[in-house]
Amino acid sequence: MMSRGILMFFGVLATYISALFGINLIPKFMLERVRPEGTMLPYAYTEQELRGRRVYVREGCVYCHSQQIRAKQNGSDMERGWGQRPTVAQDYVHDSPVLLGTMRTGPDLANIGVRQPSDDWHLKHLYNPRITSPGSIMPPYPWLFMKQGEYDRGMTLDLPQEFAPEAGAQVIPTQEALDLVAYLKSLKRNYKVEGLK
Amino acid sequence: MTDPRHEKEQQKHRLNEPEGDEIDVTRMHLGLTREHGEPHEGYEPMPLWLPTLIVGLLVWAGYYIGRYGGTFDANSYDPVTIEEGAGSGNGASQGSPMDRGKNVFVSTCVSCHQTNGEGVPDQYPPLAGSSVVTGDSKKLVQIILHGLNGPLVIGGKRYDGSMPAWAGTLDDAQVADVSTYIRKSWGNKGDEVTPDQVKAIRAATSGRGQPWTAAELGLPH
Amino acid sequence: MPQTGTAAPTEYDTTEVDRSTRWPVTVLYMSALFWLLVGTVFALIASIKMHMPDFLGDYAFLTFGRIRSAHLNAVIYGWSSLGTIATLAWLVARLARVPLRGGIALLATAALWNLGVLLGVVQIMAGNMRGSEWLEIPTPIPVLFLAAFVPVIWVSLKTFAQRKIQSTYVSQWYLFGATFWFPAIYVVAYLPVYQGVPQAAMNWWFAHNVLGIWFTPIGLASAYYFIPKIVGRPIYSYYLSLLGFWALALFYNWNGSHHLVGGPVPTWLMTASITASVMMVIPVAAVAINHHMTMKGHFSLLKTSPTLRFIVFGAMSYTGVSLQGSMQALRNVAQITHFTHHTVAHSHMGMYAFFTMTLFGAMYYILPRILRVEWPSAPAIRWHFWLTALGIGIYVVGLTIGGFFQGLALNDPARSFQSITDEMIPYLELRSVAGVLIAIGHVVFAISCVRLLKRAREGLFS
Repeated sequence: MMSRGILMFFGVLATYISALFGINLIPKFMLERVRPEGTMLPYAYTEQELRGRRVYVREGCVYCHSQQIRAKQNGSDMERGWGQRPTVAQDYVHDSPVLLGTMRTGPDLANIGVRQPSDDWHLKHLYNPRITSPGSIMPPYPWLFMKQGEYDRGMTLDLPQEFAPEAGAQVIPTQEALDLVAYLKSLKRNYKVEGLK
Repeated sequence: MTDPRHEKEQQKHRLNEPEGDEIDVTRMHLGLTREHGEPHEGYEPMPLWLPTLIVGLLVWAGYYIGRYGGTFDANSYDPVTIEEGAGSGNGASQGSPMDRGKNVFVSTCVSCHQTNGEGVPDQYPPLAGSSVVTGDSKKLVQIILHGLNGPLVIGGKRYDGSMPAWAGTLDDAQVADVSTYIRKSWGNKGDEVTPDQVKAIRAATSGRGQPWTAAELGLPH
Repeated sequence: MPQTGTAAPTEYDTTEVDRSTRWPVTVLYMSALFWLLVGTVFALIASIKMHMPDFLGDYAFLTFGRIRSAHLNAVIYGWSSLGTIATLAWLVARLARVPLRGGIALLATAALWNLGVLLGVVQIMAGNMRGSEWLEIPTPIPVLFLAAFVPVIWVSLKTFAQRKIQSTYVSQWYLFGATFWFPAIYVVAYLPVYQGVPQAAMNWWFAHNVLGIWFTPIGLASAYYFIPKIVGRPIYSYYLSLLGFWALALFYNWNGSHHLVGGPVPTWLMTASITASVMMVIPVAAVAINHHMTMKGHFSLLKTSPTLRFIVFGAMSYTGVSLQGSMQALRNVAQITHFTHHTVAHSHMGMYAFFTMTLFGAMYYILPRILRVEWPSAPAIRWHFWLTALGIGIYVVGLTIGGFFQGLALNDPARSFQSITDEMIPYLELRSVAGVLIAIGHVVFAISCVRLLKRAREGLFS
């Protein structure tokens, strides 16, 4: 009977190892050798962009926003204007955690830095998405902002009456809000990918 | 169908099910002690269709891996991806100016001006029915290239925001296409803008490092 | 009233075996239940936020991205995993027909594991999460889970080694597999060696396998145990059991990468997972036939046995969710369903309609036996069943359909993104309604459990 047990152990181990290598480690070693070549970006993130990226992770943006553009056969990502080319493994070499996402409750952000370069738009949108995008179901992030008086950095957000915290109050983005916007604006896929064809 | 064995089993299981709040000690113990022996396997043969299904699935798997396996390579994407040439930085160069312009519009303009060109009340001015859009194409192209800052009156409503510059993002053809698109959509009736026109305007304003104001362009503010 | 002077029809004394599991299993189950309730509250908040985005909008720790992850981790690592360990411990002893060896060590498991979940959920809500789905809990908290798992391996192997019976029943195979697989995938997933796209491949290898080779084996082990147990006849076919187990071990492991379909992932990798996903039809069909043929002619027992009612609901959902999963993995289908609520419905069908319902069934059988008191109220059990069954039914059907329309609309570039958001609102509202039904069901169940414990305490001290 013991031999049965050993057989089972090795069976369970073998199936595990096959998949561990097959769909985890082999892709890892294979893709790790993929590096941007020639003139191709992506550039590494700046300090500020990395701080913003941590805010992105902290607030769980990835649960509603993907960061990948698929080829035409897989969806209308490009017709929607989310990007001009499918994203490839080279685009993500600097990403940890990688934020590909699996849900599109909101639009894809792989190329948001090209599509929406306005700080003012991003800040208002983060303070309350319904200022810039009526009907949006994105959560507001008021804790990335402070009321004037509590905080001062010489920059206020010009909010419409209905969204202001109280009549006449000015809202000021915190460093975290600015970092997050810097990160979003760094998401650009407008460079060439070489070595693919 | 009154299989007596079946009846008995049902009865047994009714005992497992308490009724209301009454606790009858005997019943309670009945429920606890009466259960069937530990399960074991029977040795009925598999129904024949299952091995048939398995063979069918294996054949399918062979086909699927052959069809979609690609090469065992890091850069082996689904075929169409490569055909579309992940190589081109600014694709979408096919179709009519309106089609190409729409692609630029949904990519870079909708987040403020919205899909229907109506903008957002008090925030972003409408493009639909706007004289700035359908009027002098030179001013429109200048605004798209370098942005616009400060107060502006459109359709009797005052807006005070800032539009970013697109000169660094969009090439001449794209600016021309998107201008054409917004001048001819949502009931707007303007004429086409050509890449050459954009090229000339870009060259003429190339030194400009900051957005326009409505006053500079002679627009209502 | 039928008299039973006869001995229990089991071939050994279950009393001792059940008593040996009393403390660890009760503690594990009750803490699991606690996390179920916490997870349910989180789920409701997250669900409401999807159609009322400003609801509780001023609290950072309750923002959607955090509360959603807190929900997932509370129900996966809290409710489901603790429930899994408890069921595993009881089944191991029952299948070996000997008292649990060193069962008291499982109290340490319960303590460490609960501490891990608590710290993990608090960290997530405080904004310290890792950004990989199903792996949000930050280091070094996972060390607690791994430490907590040591007694699980030790106790189950030791008990198995002392077994009083030669043949090893199919449930035991699954228990054995799960005991090995969970720590094996969990350790690898936390190795700090991943970056870029390979990290995504690892992420979905792990996330899919948590369901596939941790929860599913325990769910199936329970179904394989309780169906023949309650029906009172052997499981239909040993050959089907064998096929079902090894095909699952072989194919489920390879699932996962299809969550990245269309993404920046090599074709061969996606194809491997899609093929394995479709091949899952084999074990699923084998298990379904095996269970169905065992049940055949005894479906009337569903009316009288609450355990069987939950377990059969779970087993049928397993067949349903697995076949749906195989289909959904195909490129042509994923083209529509990927990135939509369809996937959310699918995962809840797996984790709730299959696994959680099966776990409820197991708890209804196990708790009264180890505590030696009966459930206080039959109507409460019926309410629990119908509220949760109806709730998850509405949830899954609603979001499956809604997600399908969402996918079609997303693929139509003429549809503005805002119009798709608007179209989804009624489905999201329906989801909240379903969530309320499920939540009431859980409260009913919790009240039953508390009353059962009270009775047990009276019984033990009287």
